[in-house]
Amino acid sequence: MAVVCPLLPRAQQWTGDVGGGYTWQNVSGNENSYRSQYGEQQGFLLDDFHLAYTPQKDGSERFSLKAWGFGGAEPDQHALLMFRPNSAWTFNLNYDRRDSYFNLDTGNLGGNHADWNIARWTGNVRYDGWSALRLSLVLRYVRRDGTVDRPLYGLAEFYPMRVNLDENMKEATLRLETKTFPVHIIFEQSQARYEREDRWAPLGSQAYDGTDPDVLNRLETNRKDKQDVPTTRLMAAYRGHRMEIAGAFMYSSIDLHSTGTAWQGFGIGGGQTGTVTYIDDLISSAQQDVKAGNLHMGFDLGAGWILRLSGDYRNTTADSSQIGERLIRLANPAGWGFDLSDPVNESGVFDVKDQTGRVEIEHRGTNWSVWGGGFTGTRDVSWRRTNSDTGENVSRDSNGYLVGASWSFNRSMSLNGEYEHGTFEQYIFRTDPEKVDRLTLRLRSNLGGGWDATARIRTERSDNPSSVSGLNHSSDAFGFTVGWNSKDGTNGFGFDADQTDLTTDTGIVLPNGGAGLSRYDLNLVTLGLHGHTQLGPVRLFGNFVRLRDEGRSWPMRSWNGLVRAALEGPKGTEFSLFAQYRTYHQSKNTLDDFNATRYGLIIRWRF
Amino acid sequence: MKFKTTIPWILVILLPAVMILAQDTKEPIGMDTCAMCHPDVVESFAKGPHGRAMAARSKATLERACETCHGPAAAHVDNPTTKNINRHPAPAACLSCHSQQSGFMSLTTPAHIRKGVECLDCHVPGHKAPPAKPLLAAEPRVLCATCHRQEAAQFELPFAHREGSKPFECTDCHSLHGTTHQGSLLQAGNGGSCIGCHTEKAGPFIYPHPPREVNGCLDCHQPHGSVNPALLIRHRVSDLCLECHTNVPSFHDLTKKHYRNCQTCHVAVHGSNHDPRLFED
Repeated sequence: MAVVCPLLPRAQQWTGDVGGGYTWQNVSGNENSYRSQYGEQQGFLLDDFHLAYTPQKDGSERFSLKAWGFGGAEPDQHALLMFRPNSAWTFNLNYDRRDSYFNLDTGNLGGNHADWNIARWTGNVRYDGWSALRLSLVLRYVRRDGTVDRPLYGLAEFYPMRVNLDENMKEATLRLETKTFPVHIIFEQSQARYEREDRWAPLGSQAYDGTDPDVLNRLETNRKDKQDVPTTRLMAAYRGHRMEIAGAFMYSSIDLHSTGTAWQGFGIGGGQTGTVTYIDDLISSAQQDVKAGNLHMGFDLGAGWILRLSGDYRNTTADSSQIGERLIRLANPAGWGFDLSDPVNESGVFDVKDQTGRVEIEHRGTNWSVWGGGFTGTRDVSWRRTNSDTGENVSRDSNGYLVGASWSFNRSMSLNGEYEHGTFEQYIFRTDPEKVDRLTLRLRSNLGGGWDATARIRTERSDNPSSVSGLNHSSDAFGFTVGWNSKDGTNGFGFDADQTDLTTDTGIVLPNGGAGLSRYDLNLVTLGLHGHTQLGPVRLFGNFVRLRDEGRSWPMRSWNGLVRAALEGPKGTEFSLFAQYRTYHQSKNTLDDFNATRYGLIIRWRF
Repeated sequence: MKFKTTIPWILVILLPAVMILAQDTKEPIGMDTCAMCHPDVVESFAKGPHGRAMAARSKATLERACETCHGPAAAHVDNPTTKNINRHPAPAACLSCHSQQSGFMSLTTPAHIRKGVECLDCHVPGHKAPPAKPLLAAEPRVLCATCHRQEAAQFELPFAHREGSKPFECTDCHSLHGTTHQGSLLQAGNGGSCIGCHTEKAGPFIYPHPPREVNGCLDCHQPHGSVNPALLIRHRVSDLCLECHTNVPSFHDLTKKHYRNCQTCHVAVHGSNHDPRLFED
């Protein structure tokens, strides 16, 4: 990327480093599956670039440019530019881009291929020259380009189609923040616009099965979706000696407009019999208002007692409409035909109102604390998608309590645990649990001599009655970590072991009307070993992770290893070699399995 | 809760408020006094990023820096032992300047505090160059993983939120200093912090998908990582959909692959601007 150096005095302190190299890659098995998981490829790699200016004496001017990930080997690229000419003004420009790729042969999503990228620019100008206020202007631009290939269902067959993505978002935010007032206040006003002009194209005329005589002969759209989103945010916080209050409020009013026409045309019998074209010519709009706020308060009551109160509120209302017509255009091979029109005049609503409250009391001793409290909430949801839709209007109350305790000994060992129990009195969705019990325990210990150990347990049970969906969910996670670091930090290692057992049973109604059971079962063991050391002039780093899922849903196992060796060279140079090894093997199928090795050479220069 | 009984709530709020006490004020010991015994520490601090930031605020702020963090030092000057000085500053010392980190206030958002996590467990005081910004002892993902190992391990799963071989920084989505700032308000919108990056799924939609509007992305996705493609919480897409949808027409033959992936036809699972059956985006 191009860099424009700022006009700063010479003979000041410029520092930086640049590291780049090349990575080789060898994949056996399904390379698309590997790329879907990691997104990595063979090629050049800018591992790190950093250029910074810091004045040698007192002075507030700064310049920093960082970049990494460019070159083609990595799916993510980042660049950060910061320039502060004086203590009052700061300019930031951030860029990041992510390449997303998805192409699997197994699983339900096989057949959907995605290859797109999303680039995000953020510019921030901050003025800090006033003693009481800080002013910022933030500009954001996000753009998504690329393709998504997927089946198109038409005339009772599937045809291959491509969606060419063309989506962007622009946003400007003005932010005012107090610095010296007793109450810290942040006010933000933003204006955003989202635009989408995705375009369709056929990827072939024949249906996937290859035998159907009907062909796809037109697939096109000129639709344009646009929404404007002004948002106002106000946040305030006060912190006194024995009282703290923090609150926030947001209001957003969103206008959505969608216009344009879409065509799906098929040649019956290859066009010999005639053509049928489905045409959607619609204008859609929606208006959504969001009001949200929260308030958190804490009081030191003295003698180690602390009272906390909090509440959240969200009220979202949306009204939508769609007018126009859906046409079926029938024509004979000579082009003569007629239209069957279905006028569209629909309206819908979607309203959500959430309110929650929480009260908690805590008692702190010298090296321990206990706490307990209760929480309660209401949720009102109503929606109707179309005029003929009967709609839903559901209210739910929920409440629960929690108790917890923590203990620490000279900061060398700490133990804390919390139990939480909550119930819903009604349901919004049938997968909502009626009861939830959750227990978390965590032990941290500094054993001395550079050794430390942690252990954790988290268990959760939730269910609802068979009259709803017969939900029965259990999740148990256990783990421990042991680590050692030398006093100077030169040598160290750590070992992690975690096991997660998760089973969710949900009663379902099959399309044929019969009763069924959706069971998701995960039995996952994760073992990790990492370490670093220095052997003479060579610094070594290694990280290995072993995953094994023996759950009944889709068992798999994988290895992930990285070894990196770095050797200091002359005049601020460093040469490092790395090797990565990744495997992925499913138990029920081998189509998406892979073994991947990746290795590279990085040369770094510090100046 | 019906929020009709507001008077008791107001009383509950006001009664503790009247218990606020005035803060003590004492004459500070200057940095030069500290430098008489700790010249290296004082010099490196003043030249470091923390010291420079204090100096930029005011010369007086830097001058009283030692006592701001380590507490009143008059007794320590008279009798220099480790027993009459705060070698390990408490969070209150940091908050005396960084009051804008209101979300990390020990009274209102206590989860980290009451479990023994303090400012200096993640941040360094700035006596020497910090390994990461802002004054961090390491990159956020390394620091968080010290305690949140299970969450860190989820980034090693086959389908995970990664930037190439690295996991996302925890701070990209989580507001460590509490939820009183922008984070919670983004959560209050559609999709929470996810839409900060996935802007194409921000909505609203003419024909929304109710779970997304009510509960957000986490009804269907695991944010850190999953053994299932697209970070879904189920391997079979039809299982995920059928757990809510109980009136699916009978022609959906689940023995056929394309019916097991509901998204083959119902592509607009996050919401559609054109089709109530979510056939088109």
